[in-house]
Amino acid sequence: MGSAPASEPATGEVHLRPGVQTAVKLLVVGHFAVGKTTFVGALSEIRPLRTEEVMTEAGAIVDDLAGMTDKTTTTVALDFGRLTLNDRLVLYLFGTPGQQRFAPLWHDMTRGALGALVLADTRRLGHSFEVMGVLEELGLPYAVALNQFDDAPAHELDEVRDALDLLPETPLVRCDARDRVSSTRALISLVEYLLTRIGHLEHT
Amino acid sequence: MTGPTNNALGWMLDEVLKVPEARHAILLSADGMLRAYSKDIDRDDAERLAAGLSGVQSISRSTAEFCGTPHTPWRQTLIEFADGYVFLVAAGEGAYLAVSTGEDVDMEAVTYRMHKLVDRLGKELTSPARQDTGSPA
Repeated sequence: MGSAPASEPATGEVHLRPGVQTAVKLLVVGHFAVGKTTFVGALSEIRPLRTEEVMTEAGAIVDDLAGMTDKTTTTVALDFGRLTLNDRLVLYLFGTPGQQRFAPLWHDMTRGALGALVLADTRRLGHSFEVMGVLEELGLPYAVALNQFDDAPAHELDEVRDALDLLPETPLVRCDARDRVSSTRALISLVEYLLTRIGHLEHT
Repeated sequence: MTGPTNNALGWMLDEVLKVPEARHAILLSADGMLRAYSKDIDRDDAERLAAGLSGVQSISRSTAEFCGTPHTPWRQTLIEFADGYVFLVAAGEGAYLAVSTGEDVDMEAVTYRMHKLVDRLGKELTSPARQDTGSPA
């Protein structure tokens, strides 16, 4: 597809270009504290929707914050952002809450979605199985992006692929959720994968 | 995959704003995509609100068991702010209608107008608007 990230800044008024013909809804999923809100916020060309609340002591028993010293808030409903990939294609990004207690909400959010990007953290790869399991149950195709935390061990992608038991065709890439360009590349790998599955891009 | 909304039904949403104190109206699909919006709201804002309102509906519906019967159909969510209200109602299969108002609005008049509009939207949506007229949004 050869898409370059749109050149508009992440803030300010950016209106949808008149020629855009195809809208694709994608989910950004992953376990608690993996960087979903950061990812959607870095990518969105419009002011993103955020539903963050301060974490309370009540959640401390179930929400594992090991290695996450700066995290003080968590998404309780959804994140939303929009990214125009090229002259024809606009992506609508829906980020889910990470915790199991919000599962009914994110099942609703899969409605109308074409695919999902699973954000993963090499320090807690095992936490990603539950999310990938739900996607497989729903039949929603996905790609996996390793969010590169500064203090996380850098494993070879092949090792991570084995550890996550991914299918050979499932895209696996690295990204930095804070960085617009690298996050856009991760999304493009998902979109390209979805398009090869569909076979062709619908022109309506 | 669908096309982004061309706001072909936006003019119908403007109708509901004839109620004094009504501010904006948005029609959204159950999957959180914007379908139509009234004239004084910015499209980018409307898209973000559509996503948020789909979450509001989903979360509202998940509280049915608190009402006593887990499978009772959801009909409306009312949100109150210091400066006004947001009304969210079902608008046929897989669509919701949201209207924002000032604090002194006649709530009964708004919901009445909204349900009238939903009836009309239902007729419009079952016979899709032509795509070859007018200019894209």
